[in-house]
Amino acid sequence: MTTETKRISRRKFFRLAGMSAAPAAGAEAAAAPAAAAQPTEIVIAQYADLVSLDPQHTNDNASYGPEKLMFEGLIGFNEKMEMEAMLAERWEASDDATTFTFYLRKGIKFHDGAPFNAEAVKYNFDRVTNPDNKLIRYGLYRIIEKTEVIDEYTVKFTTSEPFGAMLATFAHPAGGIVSPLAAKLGEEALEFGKAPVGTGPYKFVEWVPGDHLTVEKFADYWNPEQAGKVDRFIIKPVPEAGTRISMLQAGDAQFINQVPYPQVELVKGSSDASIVENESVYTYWVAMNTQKEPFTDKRVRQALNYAIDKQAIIDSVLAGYGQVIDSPLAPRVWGYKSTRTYEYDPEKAKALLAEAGVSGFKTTLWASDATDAKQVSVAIQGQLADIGVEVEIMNMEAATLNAERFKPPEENQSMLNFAGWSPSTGDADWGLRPLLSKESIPPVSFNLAFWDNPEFDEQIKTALGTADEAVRLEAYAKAQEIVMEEAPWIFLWRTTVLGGISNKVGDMWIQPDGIGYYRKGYYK
Amino acid sequence: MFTYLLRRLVIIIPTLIGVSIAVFLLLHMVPGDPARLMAGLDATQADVEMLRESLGLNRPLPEQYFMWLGNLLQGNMGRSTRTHNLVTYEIGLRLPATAQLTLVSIVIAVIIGLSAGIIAATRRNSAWDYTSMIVALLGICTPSFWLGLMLMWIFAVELRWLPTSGRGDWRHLVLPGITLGVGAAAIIARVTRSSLLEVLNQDYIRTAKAKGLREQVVIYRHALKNALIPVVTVIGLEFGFLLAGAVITETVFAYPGVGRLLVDSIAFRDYPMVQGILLILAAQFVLVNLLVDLLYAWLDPRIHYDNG
Amino acid sequence: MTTVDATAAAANLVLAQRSRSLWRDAWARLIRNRAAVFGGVIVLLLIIAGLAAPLLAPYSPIKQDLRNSVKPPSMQHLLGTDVHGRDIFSRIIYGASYSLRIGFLGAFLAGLIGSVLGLISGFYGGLADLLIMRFMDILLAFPGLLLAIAIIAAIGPGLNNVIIAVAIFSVPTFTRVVRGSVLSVRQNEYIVAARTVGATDNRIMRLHLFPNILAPLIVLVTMRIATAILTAASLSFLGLGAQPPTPEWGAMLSDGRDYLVLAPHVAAFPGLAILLAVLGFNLLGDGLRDALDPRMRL
Repeated sequence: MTTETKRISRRKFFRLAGMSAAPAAGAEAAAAPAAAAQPTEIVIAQYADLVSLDPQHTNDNASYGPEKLMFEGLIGFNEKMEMEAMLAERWEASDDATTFTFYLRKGIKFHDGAPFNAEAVKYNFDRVTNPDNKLIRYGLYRIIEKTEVIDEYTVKFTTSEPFGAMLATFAHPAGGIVSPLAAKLGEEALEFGKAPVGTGPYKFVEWVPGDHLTVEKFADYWNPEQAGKVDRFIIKPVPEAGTRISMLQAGDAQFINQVPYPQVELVKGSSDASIVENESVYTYWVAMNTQKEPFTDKRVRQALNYAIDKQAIIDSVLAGYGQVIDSPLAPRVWGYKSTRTYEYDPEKAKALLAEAGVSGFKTTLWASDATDAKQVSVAIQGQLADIGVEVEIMNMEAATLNAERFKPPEENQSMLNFAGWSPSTGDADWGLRPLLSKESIPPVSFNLAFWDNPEFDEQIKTALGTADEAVRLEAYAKAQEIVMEEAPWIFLWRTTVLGGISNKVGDMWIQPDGIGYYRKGYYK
Repeated sequence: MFTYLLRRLVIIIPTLIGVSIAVFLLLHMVPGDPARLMAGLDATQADVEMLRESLGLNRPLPEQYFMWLGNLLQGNMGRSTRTHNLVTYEIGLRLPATAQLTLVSIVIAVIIGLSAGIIAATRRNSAWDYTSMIVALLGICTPSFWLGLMLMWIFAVELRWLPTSGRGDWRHLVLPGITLGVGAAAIIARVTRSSLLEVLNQDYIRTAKAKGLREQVVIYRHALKNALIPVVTVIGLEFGFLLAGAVITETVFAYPGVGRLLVDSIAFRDYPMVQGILLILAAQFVLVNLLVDLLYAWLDPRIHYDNG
Repeated sequence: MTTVDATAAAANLVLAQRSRSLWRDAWARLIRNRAAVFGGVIVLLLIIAGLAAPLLAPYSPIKQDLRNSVKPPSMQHLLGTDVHGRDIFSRIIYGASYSLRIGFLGAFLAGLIGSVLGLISGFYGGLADLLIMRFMDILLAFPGLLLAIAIIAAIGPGLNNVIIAVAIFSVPTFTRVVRGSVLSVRQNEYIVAARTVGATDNRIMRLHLFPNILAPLIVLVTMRIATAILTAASLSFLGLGAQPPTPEWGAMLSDGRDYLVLAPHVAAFPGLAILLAVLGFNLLGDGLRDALDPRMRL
């Protein structure tokens, strides 16, 4: 069956990605003698253009991917989105989750020769937490009250209040460390994003907006085992998926970031390219406005959950590349707990509606105008019609949609809202708090269900107040149970991210949070 | 004629100011919050407000407009709210690319369109006529994204004669040029055919033929010049449509042009960028139209503007 | 001034008789034109399909069957199914009425506004001409996308707003063509004559100019129906068209873009439907032009 083949191919992917040390080393050894004759330039076609190359001034995956060639954080993520040490060797957190101490690696230099040390780290976090620099990641790190240099290779952060998710926030791609020599402040702060300098295996050469970004191998990279294996990377924005696939097939690109589900077979059918799959941390759902009739009634919300045949939509619209979720979080998010699902059962849905005294009603569903969002909303419309719920679909252009979504409750017309979310810290906090806590009701953040549940909020608070992992895990488990039972959303699925790779190269993939991971790329 | 030209040139300025006001109002009428889009969905309201202030978006609309206009008069179109680059820099990078593409495609369109139209008209009701007109209709109806992807698939992936996408030497212009030019070629072919037919039916041409002038001489020396008037109008109009149509072609071929920049900027509600691009496109369009009107007068002495 | 009125009345009578026989001649010419008749038949079939869709279509256009997603043409589903397992044949038949409505209303609305503006602009010239034509330039200088986003943002998405957006797209073309015709007709002897005998502007426009541009208008409207259908299709392609699950052809075409190679039928049949409609209206338009005004440039 499909699940079976997928499991195999996923295993194949991890082998391809060189997760076990032995095959990767073998491949390298085999590649080494031929390297001189091989082309040493990898072209990557990704779905959108970069916006900035300053991690502290970035919030889009199309920019984070290329940035990760040039920058490294204190902590990073591996391909399963588990935290791993990068520029810091180890770290400690106080029990009350207010101070965090990092012990840095020694002997690391930035591309411009500046030394990497505690002063450099302090410069970075002083830069991003100063609102005068107008960096858009200010909000993410604002909680850091002060950064102190303990000695040359030890640095200590103190937060203004307990923040149990702080370590994950350092692993966030915006935590990439920039060169204090190159990164200016104040009026000039934003200029850095055009000529970035970091510690990564590749350094910046040129960026022609709309056309390409070129980076080249950094000779003095600190970790010989992880040093760049090709001379240059060229990253091109190619918005049309069909074009990316053509580029891959014609050899004009060696890796393409994002292959739409219906076109996967096209790549698979090609003899010189294959698909790289990775289980994502993106979950998709339909938020119901719990402050408006009839969604104030839990039975109605549960009824809608029973009414949707998620697997059928996954098999058709997503071509099978997804899995029904049993929690608001995807399994690869830290703190995830398998909780419960709502099996497809239209009869039960009708019974619940009858019990709630609701017999068929009209409502509206908001979704973006992206192809898959449109197709999902049509499928949901069809299935809700079967239990007597008449849905009017409003597919809006993203900017318009978000303007409508972020209106305060009294002006907000939202009823049903199809959306997806990936917590880029990989932590349960960022997968729950901005979406479901009372403090996140628009216009503040993304609680599109306008859900106000004190018990849930209590669990979130408990989890944030400590650095004790056991306590945090337990609180998040309870929080997930409350969400699944109260059903402020129609829970749908988590997706698989798909890239296309030429058979001549290896070790590139898309991270679970949708960010391209290219730095290990090599010619076979 | 000279006063007319002068008057038309002077009138361009209020037209462009009209365009800029219209664009400004439209942009602010369309829902969407550039600060929220930049800050991201996971940003808090306080972050968004901070950004809004730093982008100057919290000022009253008239003030924002006049600040923009004031800067414009000093040759400064402001900075992109998205990339923080100077608007003039980003447009300067892409305008030559789009100009190149549009020019190539209009040349392709005129060559194909004129020859097909002439063939069809001079061999009216023949197989040539029917074939070229049906092909022209197909050309009008073919969605350019489909045509572009098909051409790419055949010539770049299967045959490997041409590169798939991007900008570089002349080979990069072939496929997008054809994709963009086909629709215009079809329209030019149709207009040329009917316009030429009309002229060929007129008395002076019949007279010329009756006087025994060779058919080709009649067509090329006498008929064509008169038949060109509507063709020129259409080429002028198509030029404007091509600039807009370049959006889809540029997207399909990942071609770094102004059209794609415009679409991206609209999606991000990058106000200074959208205003800058539309102003330049409008100026280009108005100038082309002026050129068309001047060509009219040259081609058809019956039209004179001085008493209009 | 009685003599002038009498002369004018007599002239009108002659004109009226002449025009009646003109229309009769035109009809005779039209039905002799095989291509035009072919186009007319297509248009007629589309109208029938649009009106009688519930009788002709084997399935509901919106009933989904996700288990039968993207199936190739078969005996059950003549043209196959789309991603939601809906019958493409039924959707195309139902879609005819949407595309026709957009086409007819869009072109008619544009024709109405455009000819009024064109008449004023061409006849009065001067400041009116200048203002109107510069405004048309401004309109044309907008790439359609922004105009469409703006219009639809201002009045909300939906079929009627697509019609309005399509009409606004076409207004400048009508204005320019009508103005052009007026400019050349204005120079003609009989208009100059009418003016010298003291006819009012209104009268000249109504009795002399408008009948002269009526023929090109009919032809242009017919052609523009085709353009309107195409424009609506591209609006749908950009996600600004009729809201789902409306079986609008452009929306169906754009839904199929990811399946171009693997399941070409999803996009191909709606594409063919658009092609057929555009072909029909264009052939009919060509025929009408040849019949009504053989000297017309279009």
